Parts: sequence; C-alpha cells; structure tokens
Amino acid sequence: MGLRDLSRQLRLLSTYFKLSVLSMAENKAMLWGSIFSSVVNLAAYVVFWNVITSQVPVLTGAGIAVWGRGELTVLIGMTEIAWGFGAFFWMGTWMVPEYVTEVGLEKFLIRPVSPFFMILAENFWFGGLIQVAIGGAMVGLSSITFGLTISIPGLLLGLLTLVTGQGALYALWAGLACLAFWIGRNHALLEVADAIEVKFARMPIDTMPQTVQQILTFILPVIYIATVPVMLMLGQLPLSSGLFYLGIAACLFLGWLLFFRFIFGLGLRRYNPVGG
Amino acid sequence: MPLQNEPIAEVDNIVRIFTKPLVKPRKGRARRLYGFLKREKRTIRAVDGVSFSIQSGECVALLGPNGAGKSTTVKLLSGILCPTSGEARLFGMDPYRNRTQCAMRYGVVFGQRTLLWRHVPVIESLKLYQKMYNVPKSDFESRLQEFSEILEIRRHLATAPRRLSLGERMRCEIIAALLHKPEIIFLDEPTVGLDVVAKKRIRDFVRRINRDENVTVLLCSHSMRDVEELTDRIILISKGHIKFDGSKNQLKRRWHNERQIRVIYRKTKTRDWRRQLRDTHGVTDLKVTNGQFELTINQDQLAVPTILKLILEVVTIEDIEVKEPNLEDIIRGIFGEDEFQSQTQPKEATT
Repeated sequence: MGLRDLSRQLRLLSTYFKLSVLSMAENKAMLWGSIFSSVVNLAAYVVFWNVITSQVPVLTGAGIAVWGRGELTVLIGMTEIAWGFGAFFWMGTWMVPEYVTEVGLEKFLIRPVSPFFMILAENFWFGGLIQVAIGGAMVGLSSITFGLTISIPGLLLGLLTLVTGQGALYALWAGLACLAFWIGRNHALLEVADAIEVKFARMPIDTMPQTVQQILTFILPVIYIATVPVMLMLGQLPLSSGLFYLGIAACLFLGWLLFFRFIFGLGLRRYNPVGG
Repeated sequence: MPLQNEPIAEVDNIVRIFTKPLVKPRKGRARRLYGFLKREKRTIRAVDGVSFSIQSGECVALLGPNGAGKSTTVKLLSGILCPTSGEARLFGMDPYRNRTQCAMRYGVVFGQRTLLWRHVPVIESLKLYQKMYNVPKSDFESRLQEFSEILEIRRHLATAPRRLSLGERMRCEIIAALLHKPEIIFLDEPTVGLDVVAKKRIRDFVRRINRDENVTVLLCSHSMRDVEELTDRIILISKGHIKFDGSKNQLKRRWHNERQIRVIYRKTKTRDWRRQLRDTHGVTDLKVTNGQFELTINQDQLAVPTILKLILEVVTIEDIEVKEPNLEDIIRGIFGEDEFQSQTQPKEATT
C-alpha cells in the first residue's frame, strides 16, 4: 500500500466515522441499551471481585505479580479499555456471517476498497468508546485510591502490547467469522471466541495453571489484552520481559492475520450468494 | 480506455458451479442420524459455458427466467464471483483478480438492494463515494447537479434513504453508481417495483448516459419495456446456457414470425367467410367475437398483403390493425408459458 492509498484510506475512515455518528443519532435507544447492559455486567463483576479480594488479601501470580484490590481494579479497567476499542473498531466482524449468508457481501465487493476494511468501517460501535472512558476512569481512580505508581515506559510498552495482542485476537476472530462461507451462520463460534476474550482477559492470567497460561500466551493472544499491559504499567514486569511478550504478540498477530487472509480468500472463491 | 473495437467486457466459456445442501426426507433412524451429521450436497451449474463479448458503448440486455444465470454472469463479470472454469475479462483484465482496479471503472445498481446508508442523508453517502473513487470535488459537484436535476431528486438529497419512496431511492442509487464516470454500468433490475413514471424517468436517464457519455450498459431486467426501449442487443440465457445473442429484430425474425390482424367489420360479404379465412394456408388462428375477429398468420406461409386482400373480399371493413409481435410474447414463447409467467411483471400501462 502506497502513501496515496494510505491517505485515501484515512480520509475514508474519517468519512465513515462521520456517517457512523449520523447513523447513531438515528439509533440512540439501541446505543444506550447496550451501554446500560455493559455497565450492569461490569458492575456485577466488580462487586464479585471486591468480595473475593476483601477476604483474600493478595493473589500471587507465578511469583512475579502481586494482585491486590487496586491491581485487580486496574486489570478490569484495562480490559474495559481493550474491549471498548475492540468493540468500536471490530464490531463489523460480527456482521460477516450475516453478510455472507444474506447476500450482503456484494455491496462491499463492488467497491475499489478492501471489503473487510469497509465491513469494519461501516460498523463502528460508539458504545465501545464509552466503555473505553469507563475503563480509563477505573484505571485512573483505582491507581489514586490504592496509591499505585504507574510507570510511563511500562504504560507505553503495555499499550503497544495490548494493541498488538488485540490485533492478533481479532485477526483470529475475523478468520473464525469467515468460516461462515462454509458453515453459514456461525455466531455461536464467535460467542465462544468473545467469551474467551472477555472472561479470561479480566482475570490475572499468571495466577492460572501453567497449561492454561501457555495456551493463553502462545496460541490464543489473551494475556496481552490486560495481564501483561497492567503488569508492565504497574512495574511488576521488567521491560525486557515486556519486549519478549511484545515479540510473541507480534508473531501471533502475523500468524493469525495470515490465517484470516487465507480463510477470507478461500471463502471468497467459494462465495455462494443465494438468488439474484 | 479500451481500444476501438476491443471488447470492454467478455466471457469465454465461463462456468460457475454452486453447491447447495440437499434437502430430502430419509427413511430409517440410522440414515436420518447420518443425514444430521453429514449434509448431502448437490451441485448446480448456474452458468455453464457462456461466451459473449460487449463492445464499448453498447447497450445489452441479459434476459432469462429466474435462476437462468443472468445475475451470476453479471457477478462473474464484475469480479464478485470467481469462475469455476473459463475466463471473464473486463477492460482487458481478470475482474476477480483485479477487482479493485475494475471496480474503479464500473458502476453497479442492484434494484432489490440498497447501496446507500439507510439512516443518513443521501448526500453523505454520495460524498463517501466521491472519496472512495477519488472524484475531484468540482467534477462531483457538477455531475451531482446535472444528474439530480435530470432525475429530479435535488430536494431528496438531504433525506435518509429509509424515508424515501422506492422510486426516489432508486434514482439516488443510479446517481451513486454514476458519479465516478464509469465506463460500463451493470443494471440488475433497476426498475423493479417502480411506477410507470419512475420507470420512464430511469429509462430516459440510462438512454441519455449511454448516448451522451458512451457508457456501456449491461441490463438484467424482467421488464420487457426496459429492454424494448433501452437495448439494441439481447442475450437470452436459460439454465446457464446462451439461447440467443443478437439484435431485437433478429430475435423477432428468428423466434416469432407470426402477425396478428384485428378487424372490426360492418358486414360480411360471403356466408362461409369464417371457413374461407380459417382454411387459408398460413392462418394459424381465428377468434371471432361480436362484430370483430382476430386472425393470426404465419408470415413464412402467408404474406400480410395476400391475407388483407382476402379479408377485403369477405367482409366490409370498419377498422383494421396489424400487430407487430411484442418482445414479451416472443420471450414467453421461447421460454415457455409456465417458466415465464412466474417472473414477468404485470404489463405496464402506456405513459
């Protein structure tokens, strides 16, 4: 992709953003409904962890991290940030099975732009940005309340790891969504992938059994969503280890991106739209 | 730009096979369980060895019953689908492999699906396409002004498509497909569901861009009026095969050599005039009602002047009409009454 293409894509992205805002203004009830459900979900989770951690002073993670109430709140906040960004940019992935099975893909295939880029850009979800704000507030308030020190290099490296890990996770997710070319509506499969991200990412993964840790580090890029960024941010993980994790996340991103491109390309070849 | 006389679009022995799940009742538990675990599939040759080419500036209709392979052919030509075998070429390129480059140079209108954002004003969708196709702002504004005036949709540009009528929305869709000056436009049932006024407006506009801007048009429509008024060449497709490819006149000559003569008479001159007419070699049908009759002749066997002379001998004529076969009757004749009846729209009233 040349510079000209990149600038065109950025201009398109800003136009899509504007269209999404206009479109959202027409669907306010849906937006507020989904935000309300996310807040209720999050509140239940925070209350549960508050009860646990008030009785168990700290959780130790593989001898490195120490997860007290403050750290756990930061972890949950960070997950909200990650999940909010993911929901904002990647919500279109949920629509892929719909487009594939309901002859909706044509409208993207007749345009001189990557069809997947258009699917994502047409489905920005603004509820995600509100979740980012909630997550940011949780991180900020808990670090003040519990007197946590945030390391700036750790924060930057953590955010980079988060973005890379999330890219890997959503590339995997997009690949799974493209299985709709073979098996039709596969929302159940996406629900599983979503559950893995949301449920596991909110937990301190380094406190889990070794096998689970390895799966969530070297196969499913879940540890990079919150655990590693928070450990880096709070100075509980040396920067050199952070770089190691970033490298692994980058490799996973590349691998899952290739998986997605392969599945999408193969799927397009057998795309079987129903009717005229 | 394609060279003179070089086809803008062509398909060569193109085949597209689809697989669909086979739904059939099974006897026995074991077989039903097996069917639940492993779905049987059937293959459908939606397009089977189709070849044709379209020159720049042509206006071509692709006709056929539902499931004939028209839309699949258009999708193969526009790079939406990948052919199972054979070759499709658009602007000299493989449209599937060079989809982005080809998409820059063609426009598509799907009559049954909207390509505009449903909830935002039409103008915002058009601005998005301006950026997508790198249309300079001055070109965009002048074309938008010109087209919106011709199609009379200027006041609808600030309205969201979901608040527009089908006719208004369809006119906006056509503008969206033409803003980037495409060299070829694929129209898939652009007038489906529209009233006669809206249909005429769209037909006039398509004719105009074909004539003035030399935009090649490939039209798939079940409205024979669209085909009669817009296209010079017809490709008939049935069960994935081409049945005919030629001009409208060639089609009429080849498939329909009958003429209908309707006569309103004042009085009869002979007693057995009905037998005289019916027994004439070349008369295939005679329907007599109160004070008038309708005669069908086969032109290969009987010339119109000959039968007119005979009619003058047997009745005193008050009014007479010789009817040209219309395209809808011809197509119905070719594809068979049942196959065609299910998919033609009601005949349009004359505007």
